[in-house]
Amino acid sequence: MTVTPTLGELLARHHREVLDHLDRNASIPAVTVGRQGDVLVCATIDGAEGTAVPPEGVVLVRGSNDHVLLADGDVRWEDFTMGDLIDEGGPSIGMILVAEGATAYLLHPEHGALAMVGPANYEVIRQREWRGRDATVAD
Amino acid sequence: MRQGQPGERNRRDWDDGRGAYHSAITHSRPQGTIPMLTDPRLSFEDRWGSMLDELLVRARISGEAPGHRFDLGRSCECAPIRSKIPGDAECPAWVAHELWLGVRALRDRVVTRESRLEALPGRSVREILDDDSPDPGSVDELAAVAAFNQVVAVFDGQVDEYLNRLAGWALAMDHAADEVRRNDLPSPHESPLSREEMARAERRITELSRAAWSRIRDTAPARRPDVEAGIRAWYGHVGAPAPETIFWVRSPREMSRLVRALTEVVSGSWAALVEARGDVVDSGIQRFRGSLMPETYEHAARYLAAASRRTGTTARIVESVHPAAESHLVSMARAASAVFGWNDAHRLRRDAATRLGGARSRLMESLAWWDTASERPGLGSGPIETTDGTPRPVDTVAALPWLGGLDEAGLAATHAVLEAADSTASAWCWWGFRGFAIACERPAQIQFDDQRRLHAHTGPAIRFRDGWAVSAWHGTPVPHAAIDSGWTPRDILASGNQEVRRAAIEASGGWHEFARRARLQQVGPDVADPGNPGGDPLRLYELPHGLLDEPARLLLVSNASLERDGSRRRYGLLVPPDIDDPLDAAAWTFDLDPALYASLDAAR
Repeated sequence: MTVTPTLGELLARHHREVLDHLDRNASIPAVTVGRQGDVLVCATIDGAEGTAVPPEGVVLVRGSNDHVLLADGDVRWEDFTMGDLIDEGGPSIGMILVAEGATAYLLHPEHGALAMVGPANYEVIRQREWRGRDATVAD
Repeated sequence: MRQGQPGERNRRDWDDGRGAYHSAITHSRPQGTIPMLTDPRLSFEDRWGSMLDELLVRARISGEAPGHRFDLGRSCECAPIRSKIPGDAECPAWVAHELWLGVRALRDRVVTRESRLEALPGRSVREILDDDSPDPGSVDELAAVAAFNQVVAVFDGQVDEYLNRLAGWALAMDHAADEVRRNDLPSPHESPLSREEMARAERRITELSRAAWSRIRDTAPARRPDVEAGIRAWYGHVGAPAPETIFWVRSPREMSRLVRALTEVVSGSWAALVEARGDVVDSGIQRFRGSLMPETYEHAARYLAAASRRTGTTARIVESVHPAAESHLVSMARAASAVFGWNDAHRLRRDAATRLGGARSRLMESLAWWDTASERPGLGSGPIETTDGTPRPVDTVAALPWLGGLDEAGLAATHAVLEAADSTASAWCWWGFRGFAIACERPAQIQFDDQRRLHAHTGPAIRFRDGWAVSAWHGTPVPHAAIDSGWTPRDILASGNQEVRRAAIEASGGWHEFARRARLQQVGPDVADPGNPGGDPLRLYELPHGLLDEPARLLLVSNASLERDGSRRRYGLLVPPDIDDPLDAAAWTFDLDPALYASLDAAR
């Protein structure tokens, strides 16, 4: 069982900030299926190639605040949307590929962080709503 | 000068006025010469890459310095360095990369100037500007080589200044790191300050926060002579020639329109606009004053994206703010540590450093008007941009700096940035280009709530002097109609943006009032929200017939995260009309099997 850092430790390590009323002493939950606001991560047996997540992280979803993917160790990101951050094809926007010994974090200024421990792959899904046809939740 | 050992800091080299560059290179090459820069066998990139690499290693004089590779434009491996330095110390490779961008921009400018004078045969200005490699390839070789040699000659004259600056930044980072390693902040059990000194320190912090806050809220017109003098001083500070013209606009919307018009005037290329001379631009502004604005975002948007939201000049100006503010940060941390004790001071200093970085980012963003949501510059005809027909709010961070609830440390850190920004702070924002600058007047009206978020329950929350205005509900920008005339439930549900919809519901009286007005009827029981044990339950509603054009049901979800005041935000999401169970509906919104959704480990 991997011990995950506290929110404060993650922020210090990656030079990030969150809203100041969030508890920085809280440990970050490690999830198999986890929800951060309107974004869901779900462990999957599917695979992909992906590209390495740089130290400054990758913005997975832009909004009034961004959901950012941060990496401790070998973490890769496969973007299903080809850079178009509103996916017309379906709510799944990409896959996080976490190697053995590595941990990926999804960070958001309002919601704090979720941890995804390797070795595992996690599908990233944006919340959608019904419009007669599907439309992605936007904020 | 004492000959230092590799890896040893020689403070006298910094102080003797010849700059770190000379000492760094001297230590590595006893001959004292710099053959690499002029070696014609190497490509331009190779020469600069190797040179900066060597300087980085030397400037980061430390026994622990890793073999740091400077990789032009690509991601750096400096996480180990960053983790040792709390606060907002910049990665030296990133700083060097920014320097490289400035160097390359200068190269382009020189080539442009030369080609205007000599009309290089066989190559247009555009081709030269777009060409990333100086290597004479398939085009007129003689002309290209001549231009390139001219560039090298200019660079060799300028290189000391640039590299000294880089070395200066590295030194500032080293000092910050030393401060931390020496642990010279007092522990909670020792208080070297008297009670009187502590009280004074506390008052100073309060003073700084108040000063920063009052500047943000100021609606008096900008003091134009001060701002213009300040802008020129900033150009001088980064070694760029003063702008020939400074244009004043009344709002960020006007600023984006001006940029758009000027981009068209100056050969349609953003890169050219960045480098344009003031007199060329001045003729363009005459056309702006008389003409209607066509919708031509694509031009500027494409090049803005390529320019990473800021010009080289602006980037250097903003980077200059950091070392100046660093000393404020350290002195503030000392004062804070005396007042709050070690643990709090450590957190405060780290928070303040992060906030300084945040404030500095926001300063950068205020200098580059950019709607990150729709990837467009500025605004069109109103505060809400449409992309696919769905109204979207403008990214308020880009448009309206320093929003979002600042605490004392944040404000004090912001003040450090503001102090360094000096007299230009009375302008709302300004944007530096090579030959000209654009400054924006302060708003005529601006209102906040008690958490310092943009907010007004009637009328716009911010209004500029040209009439452009943004309405906002506790920090969320919304269309004017949502506040003014009040939206109907149909209007509210028609909004595709969940934050706007939520804010509109709150502004019209809250969820209960909305449910009443919309005549919502609950379907099925409340169901616990998976992964959110302390939170509000999921609830499904039937919509009355005819409320929307197509049948649908409404799922009420609540945030797992609390707001600052302890409340939870609520959202109403439309779901297919044939779903009967709230949990199934929630699972549908994520296209997930309901049993899998129910097994959610955590929601935040």
